[in-house]
Amino acid sequence: MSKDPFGFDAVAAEPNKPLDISSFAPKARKTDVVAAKAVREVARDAGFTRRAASKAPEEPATPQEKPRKRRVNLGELLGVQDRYPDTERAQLNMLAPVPVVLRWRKLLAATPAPAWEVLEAAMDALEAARAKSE
Amino acid sequence: MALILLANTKGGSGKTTAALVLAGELLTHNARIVLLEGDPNRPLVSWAETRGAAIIETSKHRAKSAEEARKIIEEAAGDTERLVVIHDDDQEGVFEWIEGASAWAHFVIADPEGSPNEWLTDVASQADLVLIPFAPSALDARQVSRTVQVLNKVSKRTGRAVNYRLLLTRANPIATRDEREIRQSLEKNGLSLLRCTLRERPAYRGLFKLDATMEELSPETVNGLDGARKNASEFAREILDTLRANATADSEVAQ
Repeated sequence: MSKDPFGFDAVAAEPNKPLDISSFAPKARKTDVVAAKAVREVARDAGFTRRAASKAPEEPATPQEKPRKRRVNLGELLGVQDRYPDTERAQLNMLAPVPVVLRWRKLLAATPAPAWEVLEAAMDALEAARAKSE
Repeated sequence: MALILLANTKGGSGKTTAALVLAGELLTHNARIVLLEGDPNRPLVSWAETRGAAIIETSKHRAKSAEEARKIIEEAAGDTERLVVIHDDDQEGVFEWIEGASAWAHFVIADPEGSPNEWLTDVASQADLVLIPFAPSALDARQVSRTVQVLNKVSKRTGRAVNYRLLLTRANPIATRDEREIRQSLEKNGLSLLRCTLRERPAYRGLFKLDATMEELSPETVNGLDGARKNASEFAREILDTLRANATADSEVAQ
């Protein structure tokens, strides 16, 4: 086997000899625009991504008040859609005067249906009455 | 001017170490160097900050043209600095910065993030030499293959040869059988390797630990400094020889 199988010694034949950098003098060069454009396609095809800019670490900002986590916003939900698909469910919580709550509970107890169906029947009746009066 | 890109889509392959070793060695031979950093972890900026070296952050110094970029670089360097670190944190005008740097520096050494990112391929499309550092492990070898495939596609699509060399890094101080087998296997598959290997040495770790160049390290604080300096010198010489050989080959093709 050769004493220097990787040519290691040959590279370092004269380690102290000054490097000749004369052929690398600064010289303004122009971007190869064709290559620059074409390379984007290659990068995207290969799954290479454009990363988000990295900013220098900044002074910690004054702590901002953490926005209060909101529960389900019924108004937003109802405003977006008139009616949810049957498969979707959202929770409805509401505060009401005690006599109304008692009346609601009594009504539920007397009706062999889920609470939402009772509410739906009530709303249907309300809408029908409104349509009749118009 | 020569643009050298250190490219590997995997982190921890020795890109930044190789960039610093090369830059330090070329500086000792009076070259002017721009270290162009695309890594958001900012290892080169951290190194340069501690030394008080000239640093440009592209988000703070917008260059709308190559001419503007050149002026910013010259201003940052002043009359005395021969090394400027450009951290390309906005990643919008890398081509302008390369053009601007070409008018000031002998060498632009680009160090991207160790991930599959477009900054890497953008710079590869303009590079005179792409070095693909990798440690002698199966995981690194697979990533090398991915990087090479992309560079070959870049060559094919642009019609411009991307000259690349594989660089074995972080290898044992003495060549092992594994290392020899990896070399033989890669060469058998037609992949070009640099003859020089950057070996695992305390001096290379010392570059970051002490924020120094190889020349500035002291044998009293770093073991095996002579061997590391010889290794660095061999590395730089081979890079320059490769660049000259590529330039000759390119001009022959052009004729």
